[in-house]
Amino acid sequence: MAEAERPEFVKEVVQLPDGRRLIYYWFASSSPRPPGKPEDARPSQPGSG
Amino acid sequence: MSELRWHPFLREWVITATHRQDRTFLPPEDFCPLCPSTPGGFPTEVPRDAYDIVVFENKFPSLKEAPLPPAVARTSLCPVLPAEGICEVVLYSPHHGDSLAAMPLARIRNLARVWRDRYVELGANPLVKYVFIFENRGEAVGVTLHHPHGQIYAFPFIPPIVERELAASRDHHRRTGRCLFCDSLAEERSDGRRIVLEGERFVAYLPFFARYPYETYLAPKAHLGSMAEWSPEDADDLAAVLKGLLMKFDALFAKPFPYVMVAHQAPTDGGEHPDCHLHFEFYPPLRSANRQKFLAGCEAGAGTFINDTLAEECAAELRRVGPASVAAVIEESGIDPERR
Repeated sequence: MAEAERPEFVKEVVQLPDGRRLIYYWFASSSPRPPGKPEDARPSQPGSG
Repeated sequence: MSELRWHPFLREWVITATHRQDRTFLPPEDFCPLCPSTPGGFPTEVPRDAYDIVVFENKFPSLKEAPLPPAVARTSLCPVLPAEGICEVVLYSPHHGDSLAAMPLARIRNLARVWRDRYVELGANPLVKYVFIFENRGEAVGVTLHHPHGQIYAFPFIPPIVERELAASRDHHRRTGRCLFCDSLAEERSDGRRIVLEGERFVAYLPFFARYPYETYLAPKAHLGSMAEWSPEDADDLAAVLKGLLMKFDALFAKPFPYVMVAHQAPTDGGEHPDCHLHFEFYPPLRSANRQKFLAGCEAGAGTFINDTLAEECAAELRRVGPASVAAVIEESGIDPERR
């Protein structure tokens, strides 16, 4: 099957409150959400590394 | 504080990153910073209450795109540079208890697409000379968060182990006109004793020269320099062989099998790298169910590994456990091979 025939992912880039970049990759099995939801502006707890 | 300090004896960069001492260490599941945020719950790294696969810049990065100037001056022998680069975290799944071995094939295939996208996007950044994709799994290799995730370091230089590998590959190509990895893989497939699992396009095996017990390579049979050259069919087969291999790892000692997984592929330094052959390497820290392989004096101080096992026997152990074939992995996943 050619690449063009397959469902592609949707890539949604948001900026976190501290300026870091976060990217949501949505695939055909899930419903993409509208960008810029209000909760994207909340600060997060310390995370990974 | 973060900077690159030059090691004049080994001729390689050392990253100092003192802020990483403060990162979250093995939090309870209810306070996992990599789970989706829930309404009324504490805010995690991911603001939404659902996600598929997420990538974000590490909150405690060793390398930053716009780093502060070094806090220490260079010496006459040791140059110092800002710790420039990009460190990303890749969340494989919103489910805290998930693992690559347990995920549906479709999710692993999607993850492969994300890896490819990150390789291409980060590699297009002029400051990035090498996109290093890896996963640490298990506390035995220093994991501080159990949520299934991997990491990406976009380096401003080609890291030293990769550079040594590339130098050997260049020499071999110059002498023979052939790819060193292709030749090594042909030897392994011809011998067969160290093959663990073979798909249509990818094969998992313990290399003849394995340094760790159960050290495994996973590579495309065809010559592919990087993930940028993957076809959808390659990603499909990679997903099946990767899942099958990890199922075997988990079956080996009947418990989650810790490992370090790294991807080696073509640098993104603007040069031509026809000798580079994409592959994954797995370094498991266990030499038996309850005994760990430590990098002790000979390994850490001399750089010479002592492997207490034979690759041929470890490969035979792995062949005996878990799914018998890639077809069994696909069948167990309940996916039509034509549509997986």
